[in-house]
Amino acid sequence: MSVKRTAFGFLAFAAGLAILVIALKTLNWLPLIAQKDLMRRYPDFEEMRTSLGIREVLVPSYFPEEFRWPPTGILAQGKPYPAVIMEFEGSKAGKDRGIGMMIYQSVEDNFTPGGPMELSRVRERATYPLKGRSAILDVGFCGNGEPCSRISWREKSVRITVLARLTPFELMKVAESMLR
Amino acid sequence: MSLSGFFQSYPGLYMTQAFIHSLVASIVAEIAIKAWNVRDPAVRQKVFLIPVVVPVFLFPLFLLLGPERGSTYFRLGTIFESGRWLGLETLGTHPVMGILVVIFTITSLVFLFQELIPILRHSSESGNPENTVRKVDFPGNPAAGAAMETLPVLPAVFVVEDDDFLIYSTTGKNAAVYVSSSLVSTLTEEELRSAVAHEISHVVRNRHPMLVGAYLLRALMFFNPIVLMEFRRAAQEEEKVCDEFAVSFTRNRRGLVQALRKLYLPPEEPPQPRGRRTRKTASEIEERSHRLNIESRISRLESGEDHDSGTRWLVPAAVTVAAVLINYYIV
Repeated sequence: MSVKRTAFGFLAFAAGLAILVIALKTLNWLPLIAQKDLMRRYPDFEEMRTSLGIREVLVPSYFPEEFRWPPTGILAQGKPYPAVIMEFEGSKAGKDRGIGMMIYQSVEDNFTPGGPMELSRVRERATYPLKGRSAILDVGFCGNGEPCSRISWREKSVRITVLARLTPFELMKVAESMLR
Repeated sequence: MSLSGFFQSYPGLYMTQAFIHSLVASIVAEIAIKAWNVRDPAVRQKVFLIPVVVPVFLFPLFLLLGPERGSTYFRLGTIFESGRWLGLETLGTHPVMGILVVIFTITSLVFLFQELIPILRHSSESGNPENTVRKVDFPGNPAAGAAMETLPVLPAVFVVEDDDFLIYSTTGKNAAVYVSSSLVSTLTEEELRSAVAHEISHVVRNRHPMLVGAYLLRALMFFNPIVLMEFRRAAQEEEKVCDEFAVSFTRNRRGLVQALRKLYLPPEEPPQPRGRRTRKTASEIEERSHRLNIESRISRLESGEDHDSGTRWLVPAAVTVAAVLINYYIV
């Protein structure tokens, strides 16, 4: 096979693959039109509430100084089970920018969205009384080796989890501020 | 277990992912064949076997490499998420799940009745040919004996008393080639040598580890319609590979072309007059498809196409890499 034919073959192959990927992406997008309650990003709470009918979303009233309201990202789904994820970016400029806190709630106990923050190594686990609820506090490290803490508890029919690049003390203050 | 429960379990996830992975690998294979205009049957066969082999391993391999594949964020960033289609609901049902179950069931039945049972029957019969055919020992037939003298490999060759044109081989411990007596009397010496050389190629290649391995993996994917189709395409290429193998034994393309014509291409019947033409039956369609396949083999032999060493590994390697990379982003 000549070099020219090989090179042309590579070009044609790459073009064919690009068309295949575009076709797959389109196929992946089609169900979002047909079914409104699949997991997707929402620009604000109102739109999410209107689309999915999820009325009760617990949000903190206390924020450490590096985080601010409203969340920088909201992801939610109605099916197969209702779930909401809130992402908070650090407010400081420089290396602290990026998602530093995630709050998620779901009726499914095993709901772990993964993503930009994930507790990759747990150093210490403790049960912590949180305004009459029994919460589990995990202290460890996120994927990039930075210290992270996570607190999780059951609130009526949903499990709430707060995961942040914060000290356990600050994290508990955030969690407590979500409850009356 | 409910339908959704099945599709969320490991076997359900494995079957769905393997189906989609083989579909994508099959499209990638087709793109590569068109892009490089691959005509060498040995290369085409390798490429067709990629969608058969690759999906067996991809799902467990991807889970091992990236346990985060099941996470919401990974799914949101993928090229294609099967769960979106499977989860579609209409009138409280999941139609896509239902369609997949029907497809998997039909494919499993086709595999069982068209492949597994015939192979098991063939294996049990190949050990006792005397029970199934009346055979004449090969050295007793001087015409056939003269035809075989120059072949480098020679499993047992038997002449079967039969008025039909037949030639076939059996594999396994008692590998043999069977030729009907009417065929021996119809073909010339060089045509018979070419036809037997083709069957010997099947015997030799059936011991090829790649083909044995591919068949075993194909059996694991018994439910997968894409694997069924691609494996059959690979099997069709096997005929062309064996043609080449036979020509390399006999150094005689024309002999094999003539043998194929006499064996498989009787003159077509004239079309029925208008108005009396009945609908094509399944057997007519099958016969037509078989005829096209033989014509394609003859045309290839007549054109004397050479092997293209440049595409031998390049195309299968490119297809494998592209199929694995794209499928990594399909969940």
